[in-house]
Amino acid sequence: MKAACLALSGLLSLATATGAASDEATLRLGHAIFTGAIDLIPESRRDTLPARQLSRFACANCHGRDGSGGTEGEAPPIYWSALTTPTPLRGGYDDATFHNAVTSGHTSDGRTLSRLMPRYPLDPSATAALAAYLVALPQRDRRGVTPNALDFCVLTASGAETRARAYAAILAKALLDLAGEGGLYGRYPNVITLEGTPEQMRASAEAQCLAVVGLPAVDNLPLKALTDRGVPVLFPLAHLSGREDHSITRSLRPTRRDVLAALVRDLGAQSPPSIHLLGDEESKSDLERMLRLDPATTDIQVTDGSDGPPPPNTALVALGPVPADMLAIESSGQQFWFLSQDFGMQDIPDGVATTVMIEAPGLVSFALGADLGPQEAHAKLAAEVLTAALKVAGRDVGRAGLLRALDMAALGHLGLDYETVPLSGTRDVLPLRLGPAN
Amino acid sequence: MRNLCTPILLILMLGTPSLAETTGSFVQERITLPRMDLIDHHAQRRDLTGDLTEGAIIVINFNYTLCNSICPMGNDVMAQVDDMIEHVGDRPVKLLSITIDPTNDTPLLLNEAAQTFDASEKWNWLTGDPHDIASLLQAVDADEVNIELHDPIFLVGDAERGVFYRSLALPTADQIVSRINAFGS
Repeated sequence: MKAACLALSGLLSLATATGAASDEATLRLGHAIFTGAIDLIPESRRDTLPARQLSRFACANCHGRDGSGGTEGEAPPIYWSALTTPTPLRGGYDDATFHNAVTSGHTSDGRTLSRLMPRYPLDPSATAALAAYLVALPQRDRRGVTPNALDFCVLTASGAETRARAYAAILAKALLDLAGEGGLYGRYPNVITLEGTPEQMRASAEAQCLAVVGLPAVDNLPLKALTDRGVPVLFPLAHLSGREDHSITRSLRPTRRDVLAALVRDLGAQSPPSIHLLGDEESKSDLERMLRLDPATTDIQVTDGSDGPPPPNTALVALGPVPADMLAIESSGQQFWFLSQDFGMQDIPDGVATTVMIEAPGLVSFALGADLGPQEAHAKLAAEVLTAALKVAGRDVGRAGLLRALDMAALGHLGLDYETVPLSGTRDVLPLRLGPAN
Repeated sequence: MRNLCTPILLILMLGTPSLAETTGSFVQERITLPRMDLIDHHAQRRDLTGDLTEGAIIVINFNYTLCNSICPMGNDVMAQVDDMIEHVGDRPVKLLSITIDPTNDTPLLLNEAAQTFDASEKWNWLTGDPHDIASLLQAVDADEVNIELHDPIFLVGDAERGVFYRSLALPTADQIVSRINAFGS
């Protein structure tokens, strides 16, 4: 039976890994297995693949999204030409021995692999799809990189075409200015504005963009739909949640989780007798859980309006726009806490003690110092960070290498350090006190 | 790249045979856990040499939540052990996952990680003062670089007696449970 499986594996693999170009469905299955993007696995294959194991222990987690290997666990390179080349530790793999390594943990010459290499119960057609993907991986990772250009993309939210084009124009000019006359290792940054349906834009981005930059904050352009397909999303306009994978996305501002954590720390330092949460149910639930999981706030009483109006001297914490009637209660000693993006929309009465949580004050200084509007500041900062990373990445840049280069780029002058804070480069949130009590 | 684990283990095995006896994939050692308070994934203060370990057979591993490569492998083994065994005789089994990155790993992040691995109440995810964590790593001969770059470290033992078994490579859950059961025989 085992011999029959191996033979079948070999036949299937010959049609893919070592044969002519594989079809897109096969490559997409291989990509899903390699990256753990289980949502991309076709319905018909879901029952035949170990989705939980693939999601938790994706090949890319240890071997890198470009298959170039990783330091943790000394994971070797596994793009196909690396696997087929003999090393001092093993012979070259072929389709059958690759299937054997993935499923039972034995090298091409029979040595048992470390248990750090999971054994995946994949059928031969699945390992063939994975092998086909590893053949195509070096080329796919260099999408958006041409002999003369580095193509970045800006996606357009419906009804906001002018805004997207303006952002793209600022980004393009800033990138070219920073690249200088010689470009970056002979290539010049180029910004493409993508328009159309979300699916059309996703397909275009997957095919031709080194990365999407400044993704608009709209529901029908979810970040995950791009990153699942292997498209890096750099510096989206919305917060990252804090749970994303930093090998495929990065932000210029603290994550939502970091902003709320800073809010919790500030409340803990102020130690009000009680905290009243205002906002949507999901945000209130998130913050209440965080208050419970911080030793400084775990014992403070938290209310959310379901048990009557807030008592006197309560900290009123706004997690979104606040109804006008809630703003007229300064006489009972309450203080307000706002997140910076909500504060500008509120009409705070004079005399109300207020704290505004200012995200990434270093980035705010960058914008104010150069007298830039928010969109212009974001695009110019994105260009500075991208250019620094591209210089570190070198001439052989690809999608994964660009993301890795961010960890090594010197961005301290911009208040960013992706080696320490991989997802967002900064956790800085400054509580700014306003009003009579301060 | 530093690889200090193997020389340390060899010195322990050769230099102090009465204390370091190899048993399958583990080496026996004497370890005295230092007295310190840690914070668990429910933000509760816990006593390392008190309520976390008293009367129990314990399994310790080290991890950090930013680690997305080899740490999850170790955590997955812990999750299997969590499902496989509750007691040895009349002694409870407790699992301790201790972060090596206490500056970043808050109870909130540990709580999310615990949920990811469906941790039961006997599996404590712990952080603490960075100096305390450094002292603990030193006390158990756990090198931070090794934890990041090489096989996850597992310690199975009886903290009150100071008897532990240290894994030589990533163990299976069955191997850990077998070590745990040896304390009941």
